[in-house]
Amino acid sequence: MEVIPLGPLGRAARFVALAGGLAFTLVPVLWVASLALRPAGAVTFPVSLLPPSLTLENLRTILFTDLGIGPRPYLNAAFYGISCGVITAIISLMGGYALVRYDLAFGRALLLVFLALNFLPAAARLIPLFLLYVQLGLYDTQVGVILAYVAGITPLGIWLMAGTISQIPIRLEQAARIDGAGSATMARRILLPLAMPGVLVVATLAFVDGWNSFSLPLILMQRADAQSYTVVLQKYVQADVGINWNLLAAGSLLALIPVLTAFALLQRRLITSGGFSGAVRG
Amino acid sequence: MPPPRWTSWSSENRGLTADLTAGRRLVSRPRLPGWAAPWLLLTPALILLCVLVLLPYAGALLFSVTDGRLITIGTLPRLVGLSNFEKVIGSTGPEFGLVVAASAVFTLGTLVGSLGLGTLLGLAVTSLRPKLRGPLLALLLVPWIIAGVVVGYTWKLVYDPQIGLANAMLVPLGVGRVAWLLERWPAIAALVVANVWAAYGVVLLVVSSALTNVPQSLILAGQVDGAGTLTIIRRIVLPNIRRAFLLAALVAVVSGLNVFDLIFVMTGGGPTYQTETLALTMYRLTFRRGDIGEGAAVTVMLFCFSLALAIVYVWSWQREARKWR
Repeated sequence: MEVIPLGPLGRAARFVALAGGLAFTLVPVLWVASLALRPAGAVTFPVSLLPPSLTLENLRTILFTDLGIGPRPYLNAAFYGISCGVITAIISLMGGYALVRYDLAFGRALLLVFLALNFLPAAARLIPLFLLYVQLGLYDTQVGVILAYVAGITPLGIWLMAGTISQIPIRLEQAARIDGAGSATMARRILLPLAMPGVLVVATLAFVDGWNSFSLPLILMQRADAQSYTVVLQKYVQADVGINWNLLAAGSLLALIPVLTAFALLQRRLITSGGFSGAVRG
Repeated sequence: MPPPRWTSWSSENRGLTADLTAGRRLVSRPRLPGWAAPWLLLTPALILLCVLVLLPYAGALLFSVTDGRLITIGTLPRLVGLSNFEKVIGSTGPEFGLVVAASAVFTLGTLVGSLGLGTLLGLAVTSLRPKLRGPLLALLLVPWIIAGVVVGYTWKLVYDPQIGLANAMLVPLGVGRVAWLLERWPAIAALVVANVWAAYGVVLLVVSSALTNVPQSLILAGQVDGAGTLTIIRRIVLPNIRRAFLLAALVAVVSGLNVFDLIFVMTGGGPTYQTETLALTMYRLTFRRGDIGEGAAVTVMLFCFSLALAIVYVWSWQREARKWR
């Protein structure tokens, strides 16, 4: 659809809707930034909307001092997020390729199972997963946490990759075969470059999911030195921050930075990726 | 005779021509039997999904009929039939009806709020010039990628009676300070607003990508027939994106029903269970009370409801897909 015809009244209504929507969407985030970037003395009732002066002191306290959280959980979360992104992208690419390019006996049924899995609540597998991990010795291990993330997002990944690969003309692969390319060359020179936009979308979504995940590491990870940022932040706020609003805001702002960066880098591809009209994670 | 290698192109190799027209077999690996390659490619995904997704779901079903407890982990629990479900439904602290009511209101609020806001903004954004669409959509999608915990803290900082943004804006207008999170209904309403904020992005994404596929000719035809903007939206545009609505609505319901992080950090289910939803009951029964059986019973309830919605969606998706073949 190109345009819905709008009269002057329609234009005004559209402007109001968009301005209201943007305000509702962005003001809470800006409020967090406003609290996080002002000096500690400037958070008392009645509170001013804009920070009287700007400082990075709160962020420094959270990341680099004994009063804060320290850099370790931040690095852990980055490690979990990146591992989750890379592994999910590889597994989904392989699985999506197999489902699209081969006429499998249960291929279509399998694809529908992946679609349905997106709708099932992650919370419902927490308890048995915890018990299973205790039995398998995966409890309290980084591998275990990463595998749990990957398993959770792979159905969406395979679904999106299947969409991407089905749009690559199979003639290109056949041409490469005739020119004597083996499977490895074909994958590297033809498939990967063409599927890259989709791969990046899957990797980004998986990264965001891994970075953001809270209930999985809360339940599957005990060790403080390998804990993810979201969980440490929650425990820190509960135990130490009390009503130190600066630090709560600073900790939240820090959690936003990596996902917003990843999103900003890839937003165009994420939005235009056709897969979204087919399946979206719940 | 051994199967020909793909690289050995020769005039006697009639098999290759057949494969070329068949298409699909060409991309199988040469030294493996053709049927093995795709399954090898699918193996990592299938193993992960079976062990870490399907097995846990089956486990939840199994545990819901046992008397498993956290302290007796490792010993084999006994089967107790459906008594866990009876205990959960008959529980008095808090009453199960209270939890179900909070869950229902929270989920319905999320559904109505995010469908309404997502559709309104989807219509507004798609009616803009394409150049403006992308950046606006990206800005509106920001909350959608924020961690539930951080969404919780963000809105805690908005609702706080002392330093919250909500009161900072209301107090100068002469409204007294409101303690948003300390009473049942204001707190649930506050949670709904926060969750709509976090969740409407999915609706926006689905609706706006469906809107770009509405045929322009239909809208022009409506215009020629003298329909106004509102009539065109109501009679032509919205009926055309029915399926996207169904998808968005199902996603909103399932995600609303299963929200845990946000409520956990904003109210923790309090004050005194007033804002506890089923997802929090599950966590409380299992990890606070140590009762795996009862926790799993709640899990199974959540799971069955979500599964029913998933089946509805897959069914409608397939019906639609068949239409286009």
